[in-house]
Amino acid sequence: MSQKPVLIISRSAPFASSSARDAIDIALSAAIFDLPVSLLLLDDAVLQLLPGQDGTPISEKTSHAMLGALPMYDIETLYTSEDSLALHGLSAAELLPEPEVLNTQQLQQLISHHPVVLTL
Amino acid sequence: MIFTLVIHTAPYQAPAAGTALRFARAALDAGHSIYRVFFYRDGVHNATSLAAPPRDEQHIPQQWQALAEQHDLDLVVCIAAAVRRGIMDDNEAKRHEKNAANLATGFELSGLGQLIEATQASDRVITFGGMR
Repeated sequence: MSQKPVLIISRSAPFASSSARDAIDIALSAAIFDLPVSLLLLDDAVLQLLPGQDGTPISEKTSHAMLGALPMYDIETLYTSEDSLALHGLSAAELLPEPEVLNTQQLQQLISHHPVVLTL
Repeated sequence: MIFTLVIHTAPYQAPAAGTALRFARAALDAGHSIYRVFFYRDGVHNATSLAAPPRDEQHIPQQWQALAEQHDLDLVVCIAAAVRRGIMDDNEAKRHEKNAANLATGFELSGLGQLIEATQASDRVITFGGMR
């Protein structure tokens, strides 16, 4: 079977929906197939990378810990966009793991270079 | 062209599931093929056999079943997402000690691997109702 790289785009804040957790589940499944996987966190999803999260008081799992573990599954790079950071007044250095920041043109390239894009 | 459709939302509250159904019909009518329809997240509610909408409203689960029967479609429901939300086939109902199963005929519970495999086997993967 041909190996088509998979781009997963999450757009929701960590506890606003199950997007963060469900995106990670897809990413891990793709990694099990040894496919190249990239995860792009756009808009409110950039908040998934804020350190110090704890879902315990609202009886939710903390998906942030899993994002840090993705390199163990050969998912090396997390991407976000300049606009997403600006939206929340954040810099990449405040985030964990630190994402690679793309401008609009690089964002277009990332998406167009992936034959499979899954958004959630 | 070979399509795979991914559906993230339940029927009725949002139009995405109905849109996916109409897209599937249009694609098949135009001579394309559909490798798989994958129901993920709240999309698993499209696979309930217990939906009973008023007679003058569309019956989305039943329409998926009819389309699948007509075109031999592979309707796969994410097992983890389904069981969590109470969509069970006989096996899962037994395993979780529930007194009923409600997965509609024509749908099948399976893992996310079925989605990944479908992305590799299809020319296009179209997502319906993501973003939340």
